[in-house]
Amino acid sequence: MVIGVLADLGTFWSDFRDTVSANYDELFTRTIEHLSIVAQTALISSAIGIVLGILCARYRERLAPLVIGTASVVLTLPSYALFGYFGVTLGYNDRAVILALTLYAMLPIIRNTYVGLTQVSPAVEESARGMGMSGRQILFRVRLPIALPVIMAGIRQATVLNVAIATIGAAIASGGLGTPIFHAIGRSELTLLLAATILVAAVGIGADLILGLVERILRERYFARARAALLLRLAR
Amino acid sequence: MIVFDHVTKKFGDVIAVNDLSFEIRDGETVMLLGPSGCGKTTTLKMINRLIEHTSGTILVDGKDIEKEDPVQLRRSMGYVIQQAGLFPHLTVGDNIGTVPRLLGWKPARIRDRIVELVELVDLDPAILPRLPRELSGGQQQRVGVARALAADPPVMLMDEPFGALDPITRQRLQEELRRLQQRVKKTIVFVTHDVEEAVTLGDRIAVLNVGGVLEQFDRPARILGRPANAFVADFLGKDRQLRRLSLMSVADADLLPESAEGLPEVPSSSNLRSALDEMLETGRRRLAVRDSDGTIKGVLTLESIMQMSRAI
Amino acid sequence: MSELAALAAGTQPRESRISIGRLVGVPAVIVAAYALVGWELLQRPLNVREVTVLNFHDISRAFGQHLLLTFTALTIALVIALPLGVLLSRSAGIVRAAVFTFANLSQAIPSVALLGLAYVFLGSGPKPAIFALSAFSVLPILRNTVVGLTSIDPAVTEAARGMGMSPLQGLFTVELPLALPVIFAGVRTAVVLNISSATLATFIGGGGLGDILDAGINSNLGRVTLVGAVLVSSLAMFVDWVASLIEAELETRT
Repeated sequence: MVIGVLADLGTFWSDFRDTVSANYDELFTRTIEHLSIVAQTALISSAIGIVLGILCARYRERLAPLVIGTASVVLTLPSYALFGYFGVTLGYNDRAVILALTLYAMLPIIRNTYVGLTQVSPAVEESARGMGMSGRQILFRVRLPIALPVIMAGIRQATVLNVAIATIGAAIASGGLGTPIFHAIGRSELTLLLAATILVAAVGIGADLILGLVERILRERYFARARAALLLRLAR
Repeated sequence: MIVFDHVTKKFGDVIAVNDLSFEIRDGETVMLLGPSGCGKTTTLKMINRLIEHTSGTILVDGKDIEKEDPVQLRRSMGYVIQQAGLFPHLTVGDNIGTVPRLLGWKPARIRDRIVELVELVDLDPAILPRLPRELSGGQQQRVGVARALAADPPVMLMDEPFGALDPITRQRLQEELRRLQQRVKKTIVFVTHDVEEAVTLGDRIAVLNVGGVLEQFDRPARILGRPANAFVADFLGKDRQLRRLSLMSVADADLLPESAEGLPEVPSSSNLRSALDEMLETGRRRLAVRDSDGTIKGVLTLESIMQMSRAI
Repeated sequence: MSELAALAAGTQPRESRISIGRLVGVPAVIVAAYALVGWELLQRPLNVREVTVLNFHDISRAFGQHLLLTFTALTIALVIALPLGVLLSRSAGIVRAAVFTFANLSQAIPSVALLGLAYVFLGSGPKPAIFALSAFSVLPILRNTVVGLTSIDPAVTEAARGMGMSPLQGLFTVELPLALPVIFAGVRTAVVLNISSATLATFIGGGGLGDILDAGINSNLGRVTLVGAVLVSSLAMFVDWVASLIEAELETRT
């Protein structure tokens, strides 16, 4: 019986390899497309999200609960519904997909920017102000750099999420690894489905690892700088 | 009541308690005193089997605890720890009633007992429907003690219960525990690293050294007067003789039947340490001792105090 | 989709206080959405093609299927994740780390792929869909159960043990009640996740409100798509809103 199972695995594996080589170009293209969609989304959502996060930190009482609350409600919406909505209003194209993904990315980025900025130690801000820095200088030279690792963590979260959700975007606009997945489901092709799934998972895990690395580097940099500054001050 | 017979506890290769043997009598309060790492908390927790001993025998009320169901064993002992460990999601009343509920008491009996206990630990019954987080540290500890007493266990295990409190609250609770001891006769095993606390509360003190070695086990006065070795003497600290004096009453001293005219007074109920303090305060070597009925019993001299100090 | 909510809830503490905005805002948005849809449909009544999808019978059937998918999967996930979470919280750190690494990696698999795999092995219909949905929603509940149980003040668990509670008694009278807010946050995440994933069940013939969305998109019937979107979104928002109220209530208890 064991031999039977091994034989099945053997045929399965060769089927798998056949499928991969047959669809190699397609899979490769789709992976690139997928990366492109996610990257575009990451850039746009980071730009908007960080700005909104800064504004929330500035107008803490009134703006923050509203914006963050809205963003978190947006998160509960089923992605297929959101894609459908944008498909109808904007057309069934890449733009709709990216817009929907951007909305989903809002919460992690805005929230992390807000938290990162508001958690800067008041002692640090006070010394910066005491040195004569203006509000904007404090923001860009002190608070944002310190908040950077946290912001990066938010971008990372959002990106990993988007890698998975982008697959559903294929339902309204062909593109990305969602397309082969839907094809495979339609034709009940296990090997293709597995191939595409593994690729998506790989992209997701890869993004997580790489961005995690960036996050760690940013953290180290901050600590190294802070340590250096402290040592300098003590040496005096 | 509690017997340790050659009890050892090892954590891997580390010996936490080393061949410990002693006996705690029914109704007495024994303090486990020593520095960090002397195994006092481990010893305590071996009694209710929160920690299992490696070798030796522990008897409670004549029975080998190894042979008993740990859960049942613990329900027969009160256990109070430093952070109180009150259940944050239950009211004070429900906290106190935990063990009676586990034992299946009738609700009416539980309610009566709770009210009784609240009064016993000197808390306002209005506190019963409150949640632990609304209470001060001292109040929480009192609730912890009440909870441990709820099922009226013959044995109480207390692990530095007053350690996390400020000195004033701690002193107050110590006094109340003393009052409690007189009202409610229980066998109490109390862990502490504070010599003052041990001397105040203990009938006998077990002084433990690092590695769980029992250095001396005796009444406070005798330990203070005759420390068994350099370790005990060191641990007891520099104020050893003064502490001994606080254990001796003015009434027991030799009083001279001389004239008490012009002398500062001290009540016969106070201890020799307070009397010495009064002498230093007034700058006189003699004090008039006044009895509770108002009469002068005699004159207390500095020499007499020093003589008392010499005696064991 | 609420893989987002899952990750977000998992790595950040949940906001638990309900602001007035949230309390009133969410229902207001839902009502407004339906009002808009109703207005639009009054202006231009449904044409023949739209009615084949948007009629009371079909909509209510889809709705019912959706609820069935969601809550059946949730129940199965609870039955699996809660006991497993209790076990894990008492296990050594290595075991926990291993299980969670595996679980987190499996989150990288998109839900539609999991549905697809279920379809390939189990055929079409609600059963494979429920299977996939359950698998997907185990993680949030499992993670929050473990976190909730392991973050209880050790003094409390020691006191419980020391006073003679058996492990089971301690679990039910002390540990679970104290961990409940955190566990429920995980359940909330899981149920919203399920509602979202259930919209994708349509791709494997599992039914649900995704059918309406799918019909609208495939036949290029914009209004059908919009109605489908509003229906399932409002369901998700409503359930999340109710859960947030329960969560806030639980938080005040401990």
